[in-house]
This record gives sequence, structure tokens and C-alpha cells, in this order.
Amino acid sequence: METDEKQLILKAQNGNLQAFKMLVEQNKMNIYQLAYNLTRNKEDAEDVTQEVFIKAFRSISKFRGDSKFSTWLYRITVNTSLSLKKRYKIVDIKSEENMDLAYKSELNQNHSIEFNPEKLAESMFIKKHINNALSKLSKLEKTVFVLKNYDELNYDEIQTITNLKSGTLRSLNFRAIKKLQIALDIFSDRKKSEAVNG
Amino acid sequence: MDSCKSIKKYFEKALDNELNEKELEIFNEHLTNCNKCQTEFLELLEVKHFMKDSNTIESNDTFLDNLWDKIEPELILAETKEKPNYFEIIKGFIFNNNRKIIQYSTAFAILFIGIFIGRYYLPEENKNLPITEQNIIADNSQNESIDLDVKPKENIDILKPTSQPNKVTYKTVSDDPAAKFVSRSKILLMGLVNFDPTTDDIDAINMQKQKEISRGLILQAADIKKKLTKPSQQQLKDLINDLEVILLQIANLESEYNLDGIDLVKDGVDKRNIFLKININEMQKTSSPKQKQEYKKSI
Repeated sequence: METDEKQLILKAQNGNLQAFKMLVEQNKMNIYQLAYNLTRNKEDAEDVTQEVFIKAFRSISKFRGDSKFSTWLYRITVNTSLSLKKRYKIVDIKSEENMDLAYKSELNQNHSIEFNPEKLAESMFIKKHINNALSKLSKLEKTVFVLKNYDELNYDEIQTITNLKSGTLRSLNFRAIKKLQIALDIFSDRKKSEAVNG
Repeated sequence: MDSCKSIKKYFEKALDNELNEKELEIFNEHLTNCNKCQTEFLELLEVKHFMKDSNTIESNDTFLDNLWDKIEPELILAETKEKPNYFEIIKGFIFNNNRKIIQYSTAFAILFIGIFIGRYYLPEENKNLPITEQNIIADNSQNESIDLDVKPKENIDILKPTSQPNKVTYKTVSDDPAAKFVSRSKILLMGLVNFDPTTDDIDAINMQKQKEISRGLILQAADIKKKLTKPSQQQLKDLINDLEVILLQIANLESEYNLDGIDLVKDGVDKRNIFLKININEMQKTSSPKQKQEYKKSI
């Protein structure tokens, strides 16, 4: 852990809000991305991100420096994301209409995508099926897959976050990839059929 | 050349780029010569890359820029919240509610005395029963036969109450500690054995609870075996020994999501033919009136 970060953590543990603010600024992007990858929903990701930092502040005195501060935050993020699902009514994501409206709304708010109907449609299509594929995974499989492949953490770090053995983590990641393969096979068949039919 | 089955064990590590030099050499050599494995592996790799490359997270600068403003009030609240002074609360309660205090105190005193008497006079054989399951005891002392068509938990044992105060008698088969032990162990094992990691979510198994139940059962096993002294009870005693071994494995599983440990338990159950032995034990108890009579005498 860098000395600057160590000092910030010590100050935050003594109740220094400005020090904690700097820690938030340094980590907010990564936490939001992880929250989004786990929840696959912008609003949920925002809620999780806020809750993570509030929880982190409340329990920062318990952080002993055994792991990186970001790893500790990741752990809180994973736990918060997993418990978030239980509070929300599970929307039937197989409802095509709901998915289409949700994605259109989300993408329309993103001004960084150049307005191009074909690109928009393609992007929506892929995103819809990635989310659908990820929904086939169990909570643990998704968590491990996301941490390993999106956040590119090594298994030691993931072990710290999840408290699972590295053998179990490897199995979970491999199972996730195999399940995704099955889910995406259906997607590629549908894509070919849509391409043919127009 | 290594077989396809043994090469597939490398797939996991290969996808994570964790093969060592020797393993990589073997792996590449096999894939060069085996189109089937090559195709299979490349498909998995493609899935991994596709998921990674296609994953887009729309920027949310507005939210991230305003994040601190949103959470700061909560943090200040957390910082300044005073801890309640419990002494003052209790003091105020006592001075304002004398009569109620006396009533509540009396009620609690009676409750504690009742608990103390109950613990002191509680029969020995009931003490080790797990509190996580209900013990249903049917009082059917007037019935003279066991109805085979009735479901096991409703079976009625016709042991007549004895005039000898020291002899332990069971009004029903379900009173028998050994039978209860076997039944509970069976339920526990079925839950684990039927778990399929390829289709079931491991969160569905409450591993911590399974371990607690296993520990409870292990504690009972020793006492139960001590009472099985007759030759006709040797088979039951052997079964309890086998169950003890499996229960120990479950109790010692290292973490909640130990898939390897669960596989080990399943192997143990298979190798020892646990379910077969349990079924034989159950059949012997309910098969014929003559055998039931023998069972009664043995108790």
C-alpha cells in the first residue's frame, strides 16, 4: 500500500472526512464499474456505490491493512451487490419488452455514443445478450467471473474478497465460462437467423 | 500423447494463462494433433474474450462527480451520532415505573426458576437431541399392533409400559434414539448427495447449518452406541459407525463453499453404501410382526 494511501487511511480512521473524501475520489470509478458488472443495472450500481462508501466509512476503523484498501472495498462491494438483489423485486428479465425499454432508455442517456441507428441496434443487441448470458450464472459464478475477467484480479485477491479457496475459485470461473458458452451459442444462432431474415 | 480426458484438466489453467512450461508444452502438443480438443478450447477462449471485449460500461460522470455530495450527509450523521446512555435510560425507567418493575421482575424470576427446574430435572436421553428438528411423539399406548400401511412417523410401537422404573421403554418407534439418529442423518446426507454443482446454486445449501447438525449428531452417536449391546443390534451399531465417519467429514468441511469437500462426502456415502444400509435397517424394523416382536424385546 502506498504511503500516501496509508496516511489517508489513518486520518480517515481518526474521523478526518477530507482524507476519506480523497480515498473516495481515488476508488469511486473502480467501485462503480464493479458494482455495474455485478448488478448489470445503472441505478443499482449507483445505489451499491453509495452504500459501499458509507459502509466503508462506518467500518474503516476495522481495516487493518492486511490487504490493499481497494481489495477491502471490493469485498464490501461484492457483499453489498449480493444482498441488494434480495431487497429488490426480481424483474422478469426475459420479458423482451421490459429489456428493450430499459436498454433504449439507458443508451439514449449516453451521449458518448454517436447517434447511429445501426450501431445503436448492434450495441443493444450485444448488451442484451451479454446480460442474459450473465443472468444464467449463479451469484458466486458471476462474482468470480467478473472479478477475474473484468476487474482482472488474481486469484489471491479474489480469495481475500470472497473467502473461497483458490481451487473453488478456478472451478467457479471455468463453470461460468462453460455456462456462458451455452448461453451465447443460443445468441449466435439467433443473430445468424436475424441477419438472414433482416 | 496424453489422452483428451487428461488434457481437458488443463483447460481451466490454460484459460487463466497459468500453465507452467512443461504443462504448456504438453498442452500445445496435444492441441496441435487433436482437432476436437483444439476446437473445444478455442471456443471457450472465444467466449471469454467476447465477454470481456463486448462488455461496455456507459460512463456515468454525473453520478460520479456528485457522489461525494450524496454521501457526505450520511457520513456526517454517522460521525456525530451519539451513543445512548443506557444507565440513564434504565434509571429513568425504574423511577417512573415502580409497579411495572415489580411485576416484570416477578415474571422474569418465575421464568428463570422454571427454566432452572426444567434443566435440572430434564431426562438424560433427551438432552442431546438437536433442537433444530421437532420430535413428534404419538401417544398410542392403547394400540396393540403396528399398521404397516401407515407412514413411518405414524408407526405405533406396542411396547407396553413396564412396571420397572429403570427400564427404558419407547411408546413409538420414533422415540427410539437410534432410529431418530439414522433418520436425521439420512435427511442430512440426502440434501448433500442430491446437490448437483452443475445445475444447483451452492448458496442453496446452508453449509453452516449442515455442519452444526452434523456436530449435534456426532455427539449423540457415542451414547447411542453404548446402549446397543445385544448381538442383534450389531448391524445397527455398524451403521451408526459408518454414519459417524461421514458426519465427521461434513463437520470438518473447511469453508461454506467447499465443492471438493462435498464430493468427498458423496464418495464416502457411495463407498460405504450408506443409503443401502439405512434402507435395510428400516426394512428390518417394519417388515413382519415377528421381527417387530424381536425388536421390542431387544429394546
